[in-house]
Amino acid sequence: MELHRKKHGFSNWLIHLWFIVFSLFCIIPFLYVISISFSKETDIALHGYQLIPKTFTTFAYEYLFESPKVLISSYLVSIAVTVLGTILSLIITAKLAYVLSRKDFRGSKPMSFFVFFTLLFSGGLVPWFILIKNFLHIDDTILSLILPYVIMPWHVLLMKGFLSDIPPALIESGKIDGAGEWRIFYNIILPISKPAMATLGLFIAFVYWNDWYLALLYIDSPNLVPLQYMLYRIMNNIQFLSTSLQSGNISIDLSKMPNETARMAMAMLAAGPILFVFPFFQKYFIKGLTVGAVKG
Amino acid sequence: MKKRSAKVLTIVLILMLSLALALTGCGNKNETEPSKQNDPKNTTQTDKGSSNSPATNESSKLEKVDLTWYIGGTAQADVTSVEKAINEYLKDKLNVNIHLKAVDWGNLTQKMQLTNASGEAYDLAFTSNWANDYYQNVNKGAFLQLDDLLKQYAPDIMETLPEGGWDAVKVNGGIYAVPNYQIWAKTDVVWPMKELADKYGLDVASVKSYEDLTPFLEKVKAGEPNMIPIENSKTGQFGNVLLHYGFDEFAGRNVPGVVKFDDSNLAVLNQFESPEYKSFVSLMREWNQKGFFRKDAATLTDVTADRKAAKVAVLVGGTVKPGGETEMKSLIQKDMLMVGVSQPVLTTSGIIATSTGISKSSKNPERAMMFLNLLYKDKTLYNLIAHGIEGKHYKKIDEQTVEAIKDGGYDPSSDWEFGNQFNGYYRNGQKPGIWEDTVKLNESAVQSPLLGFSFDPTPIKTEIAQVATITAQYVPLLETGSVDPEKMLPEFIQKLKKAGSDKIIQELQKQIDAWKSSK
Repeated sequence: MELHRKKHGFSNWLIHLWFIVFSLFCIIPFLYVISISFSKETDIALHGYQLIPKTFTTFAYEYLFESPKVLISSYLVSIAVTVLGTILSLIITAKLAYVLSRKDFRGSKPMSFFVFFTLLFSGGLVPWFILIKNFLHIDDTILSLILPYVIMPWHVLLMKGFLSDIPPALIESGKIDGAGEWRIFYNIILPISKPAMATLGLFIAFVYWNDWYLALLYIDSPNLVPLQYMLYRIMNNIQFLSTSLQSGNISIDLSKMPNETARMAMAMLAAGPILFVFPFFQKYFIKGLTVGAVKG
Repeated sequence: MKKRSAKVLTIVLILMLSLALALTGCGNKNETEPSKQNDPKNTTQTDKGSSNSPATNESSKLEKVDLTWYIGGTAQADVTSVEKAINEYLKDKLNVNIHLKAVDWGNLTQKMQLTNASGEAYDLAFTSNWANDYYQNVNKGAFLQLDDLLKQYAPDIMETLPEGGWDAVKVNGGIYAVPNYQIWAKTDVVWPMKELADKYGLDVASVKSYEDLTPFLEKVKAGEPNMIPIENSKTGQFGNVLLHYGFDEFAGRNVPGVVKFDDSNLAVLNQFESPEYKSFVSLMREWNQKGFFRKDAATLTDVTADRKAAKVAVLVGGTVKPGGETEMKSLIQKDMLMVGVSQPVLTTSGIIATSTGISKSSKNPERAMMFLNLLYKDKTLYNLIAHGIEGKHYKKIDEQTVEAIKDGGYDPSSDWEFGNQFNGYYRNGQKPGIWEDTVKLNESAVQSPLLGFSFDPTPIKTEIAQVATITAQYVPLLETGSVDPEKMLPEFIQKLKKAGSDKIIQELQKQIDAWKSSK
């Protein structure tokens, strides 16, 4: 008995240690970002990155909020895209996944394959671009930031996995009680798959919130630029210019580019909202992940 | 079993169906595209016929047209009011509706590739050898050949630009872009910090090469423990001394193949095998061991942070140009000396670094050319597009000098992007007269014997890609002195040979010989 407990304790410790080290790897870089965003620029150049700022200053944030118009508008765009996109995508993904999960639907297999196929192969960038720009004509509108991600095959398959575990008897019982397909979906299926929906919603929200690629492709007007794209642009510009301009006859005033502390402050502002959203979803999250597992 | 094979069959059927669908989609596209492309051509032809006479007689009769111009840089918040002002100003002259579409420098290349692929119509675009590559655009047929348009509609451009400029943009004898007029001549340069140069007695006049800096750097290293004696980064340094050694690197950065400026036979050499390269990397090794660089120089990508913190005693890179010191000072907030270490040279790459092309998809190429021509002549128009509206985006300090208004909403600060920079106001801090000095420098510079030769990379694409992986690995190591050149340089050269550097040299020589005999 004693021996057993000892062994148990030891492996427990090992597991704890592993996770402590692992979470340190995640947390420390983040702490660095926070610290840099509150540091003085010259301190970083002179002493390197430090976990505790040598001189504490909110200069970077003041710099960002000096001309808050751009920041606020990109925040609004990001929030609008995330909220609208998540709702739309969640509804459509759930509906598609539900249909695919019904074993009494004959086309389920080929349709599933059709979804799965697009997970592996896509039409490529140029046809995609032409579709959005020349056929749908939604480039440079907020729709171009939402529509392309409404159905993501990975999400559909995930949801299908969740929904396949619902016993068909439940649906049959609904039918016996005289419920139509819509009623079954909205009043039976949706309520019991709340955890799955919450999990999926979080995934989708992450996709929309973190996306800059659609904006890079389709957005021209400055007031439709989402937050992540703004961030990406700044980083990308600095990198591109500092590598390609050393040799050329071009002078671009790099002093106007935000410096390191400002960039980190922007990263904080971009990551912030998602940090607050996460605990809100967390109570569903664990349930959601295990929902596919066999239950008693 | 049977059931399963039936399922497989349905899947295969669906696959084929979807493939067929996709293919018909392509087919449709192919059918419609030529007609789409024909459209603008037809209209341009008719346009040409109708607008010929008004251009010479009275331009007020010109029909109003839209012109879209893709430029690089951050999108400006208040670009619409500038566009409006330009349209207002040009109403009686050109009657155009200009749209300035700014794309970030880092994304310009990709954006333009997509725009060209989608067949979207635009009129003008910034093109160069470092963003939205000129030769790629020409090879893909994205740009219009401009020779006739220039003759007919651009007398002022023809008058302004020196002959060498046209040689540089020629591809197979045709002109596909108009070089913007700014500093063209390139001179290798080092930038010692003035206060340190004074303190440690650096005689600037005696600095003719990197080697001459060694004693100064030693003193800085000994006397200023917090300073980095000289800048170095992952990009490597040899690119900054090519002209010093008399090389024209015409095939692209770090592609084997250079020609010496004083070689009338135009023999192509592999710069990495040259004695110059060996002595240079040996110097870098020596400097590295003396601790003159940042420790992580071989992996450093962004040098601006150190520059802004004024932490580096000698900066490298860029070019000597009138007003260069003030530009440096505005970045670093300290006086820097501009010390040329080569003669000023006109190379193809220095000239095409800023140019403007007209798209094949343009519906009004002659109007685009007329607009471009005005930018070389009309100071009001140029200043509108480069600085914005007076009182709103900039204020005048004196007759010739302006200062941008903070948060005014329009300050692209890339004066070299819009035609003739010498038409513009000086920015605050620039000394009046530097435009004239720059023109003089351009005209006095030595012309590379290769000016006008453009290299076609298609036959040796694979070799160039293979070589690029080797250079990406060895150049940062060797040129930051992180490894011993005695050992690594022969290894580097051998790997280059294996990757096909000799074949590249042969092909380059072949193309140059053909160009020479056709001249």
